[in-house]
Amino acid sequence: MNRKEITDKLYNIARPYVQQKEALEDFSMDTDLLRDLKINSANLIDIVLDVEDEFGVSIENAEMELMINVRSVVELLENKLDAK
Amino acid sequence: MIGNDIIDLRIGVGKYKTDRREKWLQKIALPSEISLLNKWPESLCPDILWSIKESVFKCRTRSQFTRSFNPGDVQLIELKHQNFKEGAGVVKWNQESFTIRFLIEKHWLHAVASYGKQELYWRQVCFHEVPDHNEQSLQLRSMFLSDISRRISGHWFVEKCSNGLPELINRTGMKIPVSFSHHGQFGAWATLEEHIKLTE
Repeated sequence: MNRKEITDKLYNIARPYVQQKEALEDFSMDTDLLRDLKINSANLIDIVLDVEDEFGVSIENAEMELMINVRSVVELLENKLDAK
Repeated sequence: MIGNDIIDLRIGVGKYKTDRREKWLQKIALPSEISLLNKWPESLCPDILWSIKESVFKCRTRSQFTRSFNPGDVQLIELKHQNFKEGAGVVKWNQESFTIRFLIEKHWLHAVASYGKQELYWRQVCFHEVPDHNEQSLQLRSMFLSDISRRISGHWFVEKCSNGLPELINRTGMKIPVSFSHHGQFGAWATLEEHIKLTE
């Protein structure tokens, strides 16, 4: 799976939890999940679970700390998918 | 330092996919915490644990600013309650200890965390409508200022510090840390009573 496919899937996963819908128009690698998209911090756990289901990977608690912006999530997923 | 978190129990955390509540809880809870909560109503467990951990995170962020949050780093080690309606507990985060208190009503749950056992000034409000996220934040700050004006005189306003955390500020530059939270139809704030008393 290439970076664009991962990013597109992540976009679709994050979309239902976004409170700042206008920010989705500028969705990019630098988009901050909490500050830009105003995703409720509890919904980050939902995103982790959705990502695990969608990509068939397991995200450890310590790795959740890395999930700050789109780039950090995509890179985490790239590493996990490469290791599969 | 202080942090707080309110949850609209009609929405709950991770509830909107109800089959995932258990999985959601496993993601944020340590085995020892599952044991602590084993007599709690199952439907409340994810909400109370999240609310406690989130309020501790907000409290700690006041003194040690960090963006990331690993719920597994935060360990609830003691939880006392009266009929699952109100209570208190202790949370450890590395070497630091936090006091948490909580109130549970029919439709909301509110947890507050502080470093010590200081007296708190914490309130919950209900929004008549559920406006968008930004509008709700503005309404909550307005309700807080209206409420606090009964306790303190002079012109006060709310501003965020350089780390994005809200403070109550007056024209002389006096600053009082305040924590806001809103979820669903409910909002809440918390600050330390000792800070309010300093202005009286």
